[in-house]
Amino acid sequence: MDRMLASVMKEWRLLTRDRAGLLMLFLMPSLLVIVVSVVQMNVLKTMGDDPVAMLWVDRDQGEIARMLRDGLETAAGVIPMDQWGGRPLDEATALERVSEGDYQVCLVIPPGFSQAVVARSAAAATAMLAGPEPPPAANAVLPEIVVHFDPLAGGAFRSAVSQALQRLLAGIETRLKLAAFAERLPEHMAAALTEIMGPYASDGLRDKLSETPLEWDARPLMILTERSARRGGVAQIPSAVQQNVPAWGLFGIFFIAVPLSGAIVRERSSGIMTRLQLLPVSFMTLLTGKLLAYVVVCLAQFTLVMLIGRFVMPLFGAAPLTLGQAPGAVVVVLLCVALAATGFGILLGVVTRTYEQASMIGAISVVIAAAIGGVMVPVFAMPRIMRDISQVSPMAWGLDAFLDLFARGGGFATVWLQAVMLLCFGLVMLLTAWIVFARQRR
Amino acid sequence: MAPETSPPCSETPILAADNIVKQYPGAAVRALDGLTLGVAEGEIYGLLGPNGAGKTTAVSIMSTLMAPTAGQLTVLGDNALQKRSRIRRHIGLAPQEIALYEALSARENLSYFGRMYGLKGAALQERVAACLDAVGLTPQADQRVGVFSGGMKRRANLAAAIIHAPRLLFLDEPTVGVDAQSRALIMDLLTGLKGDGTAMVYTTHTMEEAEALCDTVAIMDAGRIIVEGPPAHLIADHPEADSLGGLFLQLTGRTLRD
Repeated sequence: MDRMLASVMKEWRLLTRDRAGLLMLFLMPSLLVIVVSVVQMNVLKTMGDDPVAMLWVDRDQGEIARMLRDGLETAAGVIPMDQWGGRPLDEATALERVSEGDYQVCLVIPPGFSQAVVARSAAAATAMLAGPEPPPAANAVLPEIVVHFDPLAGGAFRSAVSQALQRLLAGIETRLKLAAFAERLPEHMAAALTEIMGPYASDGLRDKLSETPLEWDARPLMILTERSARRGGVAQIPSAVQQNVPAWGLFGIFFIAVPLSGAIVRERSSGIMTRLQLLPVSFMTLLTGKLLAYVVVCLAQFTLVMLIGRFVMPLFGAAPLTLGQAPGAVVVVLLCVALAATGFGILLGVVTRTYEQASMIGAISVVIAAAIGGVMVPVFAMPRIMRDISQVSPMAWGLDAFLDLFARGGGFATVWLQAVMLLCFGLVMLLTAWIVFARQRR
Repeated sequence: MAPETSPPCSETPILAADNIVKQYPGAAVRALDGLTLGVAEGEIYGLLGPNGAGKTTAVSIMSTLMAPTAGQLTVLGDNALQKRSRIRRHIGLAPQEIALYEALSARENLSYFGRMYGLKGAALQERVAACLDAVGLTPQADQRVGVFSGGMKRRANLAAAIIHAPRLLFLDEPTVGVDAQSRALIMDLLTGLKGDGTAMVYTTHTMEEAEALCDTVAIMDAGRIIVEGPPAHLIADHPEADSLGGLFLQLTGRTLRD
């Protein structure tokens, strides 16, 4: 026990005296959490929470353009901007501003748009009442409004804007068709009844039908409510902080493989490993000492990142991190992640020959594991093949478990499998390191 | 600097290597081809040879760091191939590299290795202080090894090898790159250890050092010992060589090895 403690103390001294290494281990994940969360907060706002500025070129000046503008302002949170430099915005200027990235979206309504659409709705109503044979006017060219996007605007942003426009246009179209239908229906019914009833049709019939009110109730028939499905029935959409703290905390923990493997390579190249091998203690004792020291660092790293999520991120306007309902399960998963990361670092240190090799392979493998593990882009947003590949990344297991605990209201019962997988991964890494190390000594 | 007197060594065998063979996987030739030698209590055994002769492999096997392909190794009466853990507490090694943590002070390094050998408390502190004093590093005991000069690092490296008072000490070129003062201190220290009964296996390329310090020297080449005996006897047996260095070149040739 005293030997293991001596080993842990030695590792601690070495770690605390490596200021560059400490900065990397603690500062990097902290900065990543802050920067990425703030950036993602703004991205999320651009896609929904904050108003979107839309350049508005209305060459129609008609009723439908007005309805569309009102709908965008009230229902979709869009700010139409129809002035530029104190003058009405023209199409060329608007397209130039969007193409240069000053604005992300521009809507152009051509002249005569409202008139054409009203004419089409009237024709559609007439055609419907006329029977199966549509009149020639219904086949005319469709009136078109065009929405221009900044080429760099993200798919989600384009989709959100397009869907808002489609929804409003569909509503306007329905209203126009119903109005046209209602306008023509009495006359059509009167004509039909007169034809059927012949001389029995009274003169007042047409007047009576014309007075029949055909106003539609504007109230909706159904509503769509958006909620986050979360265990325990608490509806809460996970914030950027809630997602980024576990993601980048995990990344920081696995990045410990770089200094850890480097330390082992240095021990070997400096001859210290030779001296360590000659000690009357087992390799596992030495390994456990190293493991314990680095696991403590991992715990400290994650604690720091959580504290930042809890107390620093609110200073940037973000909601503070909440730990979910199972802090004990968080600790268990954290220990398993730390074991997996240190196991990987030890194996890397044993199999690589130079410090450069260890740091290069370590950094690249951790970044790749983070990318496929959903740290940078959520797994659900990946192509199918990448979603399948992500299942082999221990970072995906860890992240899934942390998100279960932090954002989905899960407990130990929901994360035990990921914890076991991480534990097994760490043990396999250590066992492989031990075998490789033993072979190297032959 | 050569010690003025060398206490006679006992005949009690501390180390006995018998027909040790080492064939590395994939290698065409044997690194060691029937190495046989013995080192008694209080004896300094010099292992000389050109680069690639097999000295490092021999030290690795005799210090239990590496298993031989064939042969027998006995240390302190025990089969060293079967009871490695038991005999390792009696073995010290000063490798050619400075095998110390540069971010730790000399005292911290010695304390760590001392604790790993089972020392603790006041006994550990006393032993650390004694070893630091023996290598002349007491004033610099709390400085990090990384800021030491080459000679200081070499002395600290030796101190770490003797922190547990080993009965068998392997020294791989312990005076490389040191100044005359550090060399003299190291020589005096080794002479003192010899007087305490420590058996030593000493590899060096400095023939004068081996001639002055070693009770027995063996000149190796191609994994075999070519000649073995007290330096004075070897020189006397080869009249055409006027020194150990001359004899070395005569036996191993002048062809470059690396």
